[in-house]
Amino acid sequence: MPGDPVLSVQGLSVQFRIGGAWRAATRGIDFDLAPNETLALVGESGCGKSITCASILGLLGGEGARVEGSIRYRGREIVGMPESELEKIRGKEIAMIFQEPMTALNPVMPVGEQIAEAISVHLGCSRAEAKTRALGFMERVRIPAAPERYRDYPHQFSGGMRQRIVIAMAMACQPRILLADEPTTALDVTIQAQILAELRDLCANLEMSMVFITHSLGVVAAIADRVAVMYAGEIVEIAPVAELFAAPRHPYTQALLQAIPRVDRETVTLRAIPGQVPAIAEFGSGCRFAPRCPRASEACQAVPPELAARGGPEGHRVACLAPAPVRERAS
Amino acid sequence: MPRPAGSAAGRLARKLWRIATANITIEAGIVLFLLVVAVAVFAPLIATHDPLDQDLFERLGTPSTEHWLGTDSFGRDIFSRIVFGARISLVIGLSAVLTAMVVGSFLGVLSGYLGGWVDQLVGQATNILLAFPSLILGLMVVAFLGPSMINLIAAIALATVPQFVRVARAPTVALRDRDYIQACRALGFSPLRTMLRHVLPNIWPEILVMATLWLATAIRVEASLAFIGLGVKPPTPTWGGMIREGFENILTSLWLAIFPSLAILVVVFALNLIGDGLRDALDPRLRKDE
Repeated sequence: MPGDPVLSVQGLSVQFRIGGAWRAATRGIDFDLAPNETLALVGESGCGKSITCASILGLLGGEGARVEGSIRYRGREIVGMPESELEKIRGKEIAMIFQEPMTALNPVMPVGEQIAEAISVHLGCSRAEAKTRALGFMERVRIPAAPERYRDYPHQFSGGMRQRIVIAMAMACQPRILLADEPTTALDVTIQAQILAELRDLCANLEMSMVFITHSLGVVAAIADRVAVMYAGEIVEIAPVAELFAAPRHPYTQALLQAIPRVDRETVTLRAIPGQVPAIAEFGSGCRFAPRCPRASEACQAVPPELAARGGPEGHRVACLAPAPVRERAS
Repeated sequence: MPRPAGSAAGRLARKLWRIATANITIEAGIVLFLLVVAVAVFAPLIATHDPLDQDLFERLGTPSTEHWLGTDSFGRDIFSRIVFGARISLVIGLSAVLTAMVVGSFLGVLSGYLGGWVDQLVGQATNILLAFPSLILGLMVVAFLGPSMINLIAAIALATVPQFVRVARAPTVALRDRDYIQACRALGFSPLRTMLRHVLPNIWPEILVMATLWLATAIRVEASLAFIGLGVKPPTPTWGGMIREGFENILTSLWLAIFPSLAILVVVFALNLIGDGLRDALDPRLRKDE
């Protein structure tokens, strides 16, 4: 990967206080984000994707939550950073797009002003300048007749348009990193495709890196350069997108891919993964996927497997003691 | 869909106008209340006599063409005293409720948004103040500080503050976990900015309803304090003070107490009309979105 990473997450563990005991919701999360790169975090609900994102912005902490490990943004440590410093990074350097465009906008404030507010807070420019800039971004995310709609309220927009406004808000200060927490989940498929294309273009034009959270592997294929698969609070496999789809090595990733219907193959029976994700209190000390894994052995129950290349290429790491063998790629 | 244009002040004015004309109850209340305000503002033009002018030959006079509502035990014109008394009632009531509204709403939003020890502290203080009926609390403060206009305002404001804390805190707690308030944090907005620019504009309808209802109470408390001799000092005409004077002569001159009581009744009635109407108009379940 060229260049120093803009974001480097190491050994990130987020713990919540549940019934008096600290429970680790995520454990040992490691990943780097290169400039201009889009990394997808994939996993089912509750696997720790959103928590990881929230901790990158320093939004967790305080009573009932504990963040351990290291998150470095261009060399600066986010974990433990005072709130006043974090406020300067949030929105300006690292911005976030929320999942639900229907509730992410203030219902009693004109949308244009909501975009302009972030600009004037972080860039300290005049109202007129902020407005001009906000209008520029409304046009950039392709909101038709932006000047006339500047004063409109969120309820006067459709879901897709609202998500564009949320994106414009996040983009408005030209952050280095965009955290997109399932930004297309609430939208229908055609709008979803448009928004994805929009995000891809904006990232390329503004030289932004993006962490894209989703539970749809189809979306991953459409937008990401690399993908990290999460299960029960851990990254189980991380690889370039093409590599992961062509040659998954972790049994969970393999099982996920087998569970997706494909139009380019003869119909085969889709396979579900037996069992269920364990509750946070039931995590064992070993591999968290072991109870559902067809290849689990005694050793898997004992210690958590580390994320490592395990015989594959350096960019493709897997946290499994018995990964699928490296396949020679037909090329 | 209508496209609101113009300055922020213009939009606020339009919004207030829409609310003020939302239903007949509010309209009636506002007309009645504005009438009282007009009487207070133009008191010197409306009064037929100097409210302090004593005429010892006309003591306890019955209503006549000269003294429309009669005269009191010093021979002062009741009508003129009621007209001037409106000033005291409104100034004290409005100042007290405005103070309580600003302080109370801010504390309520602060406490609801920040939570933790701030919430504990504000909550406990609110509960202590709420334990006293507003009249008793006002009584204690005035007895302690001595009766003067400023002290009366302070006393009534203090008695009313907890109401605004409560009415601001509850919706703030509900808003705190909404995505768009969370998004404020993710956008790097300070807690103060989030509270003032994003929380407050979402909850002010509740606060406004509360303010009109408590303005009525504030005016009643002021009159009650004046009635027991802790109001603005005589000879300044206050409605509560006039009722007290009338009360002393109630067996011979009933109207002395009746007319100022009617004045209080009219104001309280007008404010309660507005409050009830606002509650209907601003209830989100009944609100018709344009």
